Amino acid sequence: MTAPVAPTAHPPGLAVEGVVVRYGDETVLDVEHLELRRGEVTVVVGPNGCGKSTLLRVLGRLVTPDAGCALLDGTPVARMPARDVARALAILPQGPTAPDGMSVAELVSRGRDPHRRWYDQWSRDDERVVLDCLEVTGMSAFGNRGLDELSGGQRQRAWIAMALAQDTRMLLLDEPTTYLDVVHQLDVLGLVRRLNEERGLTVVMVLHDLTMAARYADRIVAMRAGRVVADGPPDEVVTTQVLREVFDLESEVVRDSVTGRLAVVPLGRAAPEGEPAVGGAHGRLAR
Amino acid sequence: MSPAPVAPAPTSVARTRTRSRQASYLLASFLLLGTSLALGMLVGSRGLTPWSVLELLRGSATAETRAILVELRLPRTVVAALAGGSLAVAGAVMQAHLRNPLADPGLLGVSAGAAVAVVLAIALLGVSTPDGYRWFAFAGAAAGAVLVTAFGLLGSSRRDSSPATLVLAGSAVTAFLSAVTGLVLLLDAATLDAFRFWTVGSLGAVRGIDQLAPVLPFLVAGLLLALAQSGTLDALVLGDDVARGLGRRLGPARLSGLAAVTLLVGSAVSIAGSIGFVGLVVPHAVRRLTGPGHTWLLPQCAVLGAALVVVADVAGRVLVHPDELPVGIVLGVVGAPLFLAILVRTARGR
Amino acid sequence: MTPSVKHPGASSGRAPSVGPTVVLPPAVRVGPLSAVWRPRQVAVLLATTLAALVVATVAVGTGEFFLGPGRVLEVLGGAGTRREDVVVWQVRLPRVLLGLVAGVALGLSGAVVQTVARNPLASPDLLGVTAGASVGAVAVITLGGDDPVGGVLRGLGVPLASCVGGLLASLLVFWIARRAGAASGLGPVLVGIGVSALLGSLVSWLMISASIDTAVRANVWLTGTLNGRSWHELWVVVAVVSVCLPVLAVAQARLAPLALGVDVARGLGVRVSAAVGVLLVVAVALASVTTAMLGPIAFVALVCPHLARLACGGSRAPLAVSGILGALLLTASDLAARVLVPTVQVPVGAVTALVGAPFLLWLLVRTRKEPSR
Repeated sequence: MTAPVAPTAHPPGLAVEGVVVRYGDETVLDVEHLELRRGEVTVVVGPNGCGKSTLLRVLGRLVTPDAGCALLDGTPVARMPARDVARALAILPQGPTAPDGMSVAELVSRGRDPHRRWYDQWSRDDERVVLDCLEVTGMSAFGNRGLDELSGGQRQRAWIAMALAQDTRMLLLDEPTTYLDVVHQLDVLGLVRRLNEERGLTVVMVLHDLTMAARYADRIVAMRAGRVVADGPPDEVVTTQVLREVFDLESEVVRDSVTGRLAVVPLGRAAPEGEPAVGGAHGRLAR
Repeated sequence: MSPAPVAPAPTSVARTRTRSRQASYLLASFLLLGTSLALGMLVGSRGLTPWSVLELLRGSATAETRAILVELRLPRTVVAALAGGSLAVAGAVMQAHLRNPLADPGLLGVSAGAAVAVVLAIALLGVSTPDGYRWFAFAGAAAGAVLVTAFGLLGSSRRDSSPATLVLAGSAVTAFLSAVTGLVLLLDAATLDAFRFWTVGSLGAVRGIDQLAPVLPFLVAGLLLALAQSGTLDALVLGDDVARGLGRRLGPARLSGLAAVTLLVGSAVSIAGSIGFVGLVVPHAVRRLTGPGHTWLLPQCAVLGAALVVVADVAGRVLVHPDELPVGIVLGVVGAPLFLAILVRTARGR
Repeated sequence: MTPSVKHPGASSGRAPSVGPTVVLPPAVRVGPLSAVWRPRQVAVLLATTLAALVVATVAVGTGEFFLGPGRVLEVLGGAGTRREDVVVWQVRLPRVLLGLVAGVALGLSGAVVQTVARNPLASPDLLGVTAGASVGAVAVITLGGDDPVGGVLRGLGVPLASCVGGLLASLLVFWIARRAGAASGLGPVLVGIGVSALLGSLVSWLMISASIDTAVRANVWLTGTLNGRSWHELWVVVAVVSVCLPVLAVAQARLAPLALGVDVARGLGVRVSAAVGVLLVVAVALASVTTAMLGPIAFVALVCPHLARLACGGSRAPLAVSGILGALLLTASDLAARVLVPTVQVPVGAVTALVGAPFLLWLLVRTRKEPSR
């Protein structure tokens, strides 16, 4: 029983309207209006505790907001049956754990659950999708290994394979590259970008690394203290001014000559007005 | 040499636990313990006033008052405090090593081993006083711990350093030993008659402070060993890999942890009988107060665990005056709702 | 919208397909139906079912009046003498069948609770059932008498009082868990431990306040026994189990995603609160009825999921195998209990750990860190 919603007001994709989330007395998230269009890679950045994970969890229906709602193609997510939501969007929370002894293939096949019928537990489609997802994430050779035997990067790719097996058009990733070394970060982000380009997968992810965000995002949403401070393509958002406002970070933003994308050179903590920046002379590499 | 403060802080709890705040909590706990010790000395079937204590110190108390204070109340209160503190600390150490909040120090086979030894002593050797049980309890506790550790080691391959195997081995050995205990109790009603009082704590039978003395070194050793491990415990809670990365050597750390638990629980059980609940529940409650860092958690557990058992003992003397409720029962009846209230009040919205 | 600049690393994720490739579990497919084919699990299931039936047959034949297994089957077929009929049909068969069905109930209950709680130490007793049932039963045994309160208790009888006690206790646990905002994962278990401690103290109090004879009787009940149990108890357990089985058959599909954690399960489309609620209600019902009819049987619900998991390989306790192992363990323990001490009818609860624990330890040592399937 969805409320009648004018189609023009809500273009297809994920959106939040008037969402407020509180933990006790603290307001953790307060976003009036945010739209994530289909086919884009959106990266959410912000300092610790700014609510970016909470935003993702509200979008992924893991958290029920105290006010407002998340919308999927115009319909409030809370009113949709859980399986329908799981077939439309896949969310990978932070630091997921699996029971001891689970193999990669077993984990990935769990991603097929939203599509499974009780009488058809292991269809040819399921098999095909699982193999495909293992291939795409480069985990085919590790399929029968236990998750606990893998490196951090491999494990993360296995979880992403599971999310991909859900065969959704939207993918939400909460800090998929934290704890990964640089090469693995490039692997994961490159994979995500490729899936976006080749399959039109809409991706929303939370990242810590600003340079990676600038490199891989079509659009960046910067948050602070539960609110959206900036929202737009990297060229607009990744600027010295915005970074100072969002992160209290004094920085220089340059365009790197190899990829042609923006890169952030962090200089130090931003000082209150009138004092020199902490951490080194402005314009030189601090540290 | 202070341990790295660790364990991820819950993102939604607003309070920060600064050093000064922790210190003030600890001070408050000590005051609480002091008050309960005082209560322990003064409350009972013969109510005494603080003046009686002064008279005792000045040497001018009556023989009767002296007997009550020195022979009964003082040893009993001290035993209760030591047992409570040891069990609570042992519980915290177990939970950290096994990374399992359901871990009870009994899981190491110490309580079950002690029980089996006591039951066999009663049934086969006719021992019938708590004083007599004491060394059997201790020996049984040590034997239980050795069995569990042996199986835990046998059951894990070189790669597997997770505590899961130790947990399973612990439940298996504990269940086996408890079954042996149960079987003997079923077959011999006289043993049941004696044993059912031991299982709720034998504080009522404590007489004179000198029975405490032989066990004290073990108890203190266990306490020191546990406190020395604070840093390692913080690291262990994060996982074996992280702990290794932080420079802790797992083998020796595990063994000293198990040794500490055995010493603490063995001592507690041998001086106070079997007291449940404290080892499992006090660390949980205290953690809500101090947070997960063991530098503060362990001392707080010791002090608050001690206070809890002393207060429970006092309550047992008062609630059904002139009879006495054993401390194990009071702990359950009073302590459990307290624990539940803590769980509810410190719940975080998820 | 996509920028034209090539992203470095965009194609680095695709690894060449050399070396071992993954082997997916084979399927059994018939028309629109399909299922995963797990030969090891099927083999274990068949072996344990066979073992349970063999042990049951031997158990029916064992006792003061001994019957060989072949003779037992003949008597069951109708070819027995009057005396044999009485012994088999009225005394032994209901008891053995009760052991089988109650064992299944406990095995299933344990597997569900351990998977939902994601903790190898979790068992249904921790949800308050056992403690509540014990309070009810011990109250009747020790307080039942001629005074007004005692009269009411005695009228209730032990089974009903323990059933009511168990259900009330678990309701209390769930209510508190919800108030504490911890209605899934480890939450109910922690609350259950608190409630069990409270109720356990009540039981201890009743035990020490009673006369030694009453205490002995209460102790026998507290250990869990099949002594004196007959068709009446069997039908009650069968009734509850037959209601729970279909519900469990449907709900068990949620166990696999729940094992990955609440967030991931929700992401996979599981309605977590509803699923956990149904699963725990079933687990409590199964444990409750068993405790009410037999007393609290230690260890079966805790150990059978582990035995099942170790025997079948894999990461979770398979429900069916866990259930059958429960039946096997309980029946074998009862048999052992009856022959252990010739003159005394030892309660089965005293023996389950003696039989089950060494088995678990042996499996632990034998299957150290096997690669998963």
